[in-house]
Formats: sequence, C-alpha cells, structure tokens
Amino acid sequence: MKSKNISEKILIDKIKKELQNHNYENVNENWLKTKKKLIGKRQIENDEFKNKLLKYEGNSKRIYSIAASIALILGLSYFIYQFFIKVEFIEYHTSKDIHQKYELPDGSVVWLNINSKISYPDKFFRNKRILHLEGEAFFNIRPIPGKTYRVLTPFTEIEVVGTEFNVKAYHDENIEVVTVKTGVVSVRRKKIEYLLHPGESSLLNKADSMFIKEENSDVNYEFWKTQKLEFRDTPLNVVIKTLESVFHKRIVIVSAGLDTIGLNATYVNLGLNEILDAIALTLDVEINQGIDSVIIAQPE
Amino acid sequence: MDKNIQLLIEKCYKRDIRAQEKLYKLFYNYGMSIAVRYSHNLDIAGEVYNESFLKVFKRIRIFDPKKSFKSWLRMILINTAIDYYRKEIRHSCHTDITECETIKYSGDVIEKLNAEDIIKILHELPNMNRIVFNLYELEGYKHEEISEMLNITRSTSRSCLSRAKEKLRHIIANNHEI
Repeated sequence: MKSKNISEKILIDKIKKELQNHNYENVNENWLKTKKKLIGKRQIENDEFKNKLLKYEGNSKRIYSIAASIALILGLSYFIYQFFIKVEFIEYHTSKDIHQKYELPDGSVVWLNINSKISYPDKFFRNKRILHLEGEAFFNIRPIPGKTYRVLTPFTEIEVVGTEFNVKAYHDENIEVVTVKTGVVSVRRKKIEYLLHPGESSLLNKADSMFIKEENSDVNYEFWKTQKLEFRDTPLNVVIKTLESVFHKRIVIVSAGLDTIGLNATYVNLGLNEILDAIALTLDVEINQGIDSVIIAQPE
Repeated sequence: MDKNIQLLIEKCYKRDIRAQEKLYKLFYNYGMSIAVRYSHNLDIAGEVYNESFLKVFKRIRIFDPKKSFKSWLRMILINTAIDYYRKEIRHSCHTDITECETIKYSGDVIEKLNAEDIIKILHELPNMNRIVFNLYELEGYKHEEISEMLNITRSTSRSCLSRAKEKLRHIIANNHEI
C-alpha cells in the first residue's frame, strides 16, 4: 500500500509539474475566438446604443426642426395678422331709450336710433370705409374723392360717395328700408342693384326676399333723429300709420269717413299724447285711450 | 499581487480590449494546464479556457484585488469544466470499488512521461473519472466537497476516483511499460 501511495504521489507530482511547464499552443487562435465574442457582444451593445442614440438624435432633430417651423409659422402668422388681417372693430351701441350721434374718424356723422349697433374696422377705416349696421341709422357721409363708403346690413350692401341717407335694418322687423335724402346711393341685394336718388327708397321684404325701389312714401323717416313730424294734406289713416310706427302704439279709427281727412301739421319734440291732443283740436275728433290702443272717433 | 496584473485588471474594468488580451495571454499556460486536465481533448480545453475568461471579463468587477487572481481563475476554470460535463455526471461511475487492484508504477516509466503523454493518458479517462481524479488528487478536495460540487453521493465520488486510478494504471502499463 505504501509503495502504491508513493508511486501515485510521484505520478500526481509529475502530472502537475509537466502540465504547468508545458507550453500550450493556439493561444492566438483561442484569443481570437474570445475576442470575437467580446467585441461581438460589445459591437452589438454599441450598435444598439448607437441606433438608440441615432434614433433619439434623429427624433430630436426632427422635433427641433418641426418646433422651429412652427415657431416661424407662428411668428409670420402673427406678423401678417398684426399688419394685414388683424381688425379691431370699434362698436357703438344704443340702448332701447335714447338715440345717439357719433362722429366717425373720417368726419362723417352717424345718428344711431335706439337698439342699434354700428361697428367698423379701426385700422383701415380711412382707406376702405366699411361699416356694419344692425338697427336704424342716419348717415351723413363726408365725400372723399375716389373713396366710396359702404354700409353692410345683414341683408343688403349700400355703397355711397357722399350723401345723407337713412337705413332701417332692425333684425326683428321684416322690412329693411334705405331712404336717400341727398346724393346718390347704390343698394345691392345679391345680384340686384338700385341707384337711389333723393326721395327714393329701397325696400327689402326679408320674408319673401322681395327687393324693390320706390318713391319714398314716409316723409317722416327721419323723425327718430329730428323728433319732427310733418304732414302735408296727409290722410288721417296715413298719419295714424306713421304715428303707430313711430310711437309703437296701436291707433284705431272707429268712425267711418275720418280716414281720408287731410292733415296739415308739423310737430317738433312732442310726445304721442301731445300730438294726439293737437290732432283732436285740429280735426275736431274725439280721442280716447283704450286698454292697449288709442281710439279716434267722430264726436257725438 | 503583481502590480502589472493589478493594472491589467483595472483596465479590464473599462473593458479595455488590449488589457483583456494581455490578461488572457498572461494566464493562458496556467489556465490551459488546468483546463486540459478536465477536458477530454485540447479543443475542449481551449473552449473551457475561453469560456472561463469570458466569465472573468464579465465578473472582473466583483473580483477582490486582495485575493489571488490565479486562485480565482482556477475556481472559474474548474467550475466551467464541470459545467461542461455536467450533463454526463449523474450517469457515470457505477463501478464497484471492490475491484480496485494495486498496480505498481515503475518509477522510470513515470519519469519518462512528458506533458503530451500525460495529456493523452488523462484524455483517455472517462470524463467523470477524470474530473473526480482532478478534484481529489490534483486540487485536493475531499469526497464530501466533491459530492457537493458535482451533486453526487460520496460513494459515487469514491468509486469514480478508484475507477480513474485503475484506468490510469492500465493505460500507463499498457502504453508505456516495457
């Protein structure tokens, strides 16, 4: 047993010694295999990293360029908007009680009836005189050579050079009326255009879109502004219609034969009751206040 | 530890490929001398060494510089080699210990053996026997440790060792004794 152990020990020592002192071949070939694996791994990692980086850079570049474009577009838009498009409208309103007189930047004058509104673009008013109207207004337009004046209502377009005219365009009234006092006014409704001269009116019936030109029958169209009512041999039924429209009160003639009586009178700054009293005296009629209307009758 | 090795290892932290090459080649003989004992041919020994060094480079940061790099490398080499043959391990070494016969080595014969002879002889051993022989005789592990390392019973470890010795004697006797 002892000899065996000794010889075994000799063998093992020999193995150790010989193997340790041996020069092993293929160090370079084996290293190349390992290097391939090392670099391969790293290459893949690097490639992945690079790809991610490239993607990220690409994206961020794209994002930057998009952002820059947007900023540029916004800036340009703002510039264009500020200098060419941006329109600040100046607006005038009137209440349901009082009419107002406004002087426009070009020297024109506008009287605005109750419950009305005008608006115009501030910046270009001097070059391109455009004015929007809702409700009723009387215009006294100062002529500027080569520059017309336009009034836009929801339904018609009025173009003038220098005139005095009245536009009645309440949105809750069925008829739009343009009445010319001086000068010439062009009124357009879609493809129809009328040239109105003093004493002429255009009437638009919004309900059936009927658009006509006629002699102005309403001599008192300016009353709301002037507070002056004028009647020249006007039949009483016509007078009553005027009063009804001006004062928004229902007036009824109950006696036959009164309709056609002519009235010659001028009333300035008078209320309905004062006017009715005056009429009663002038025409010798009896006027009574009903529940929701005024009743005119032949005295008994 | 050697300052040069220390420096190389530090460079390997940064995955410096030149440092890795130097370290790989510096320990090639040492590593191969171990790998070759566990493998059944030189190619496998090379693979074991390569695989071990991939592990070395991967785990270089957890290497304790106060300890011997050689010992650390040896541990990795042995484990790599064992892993290489692990599939076979459970199905080997079912030999009876009883037939262990005493065969005397002639001192002269052993003296004549060179490295190439020894490698050949070792490669002729069944894989499992060779591994246990290495672990027990050359590494100095006990059967208890070997049984844990290889996940086998102690008796299997013993039986593998005696089979290895027996085979060695036969191989040496047949090929190298006059």
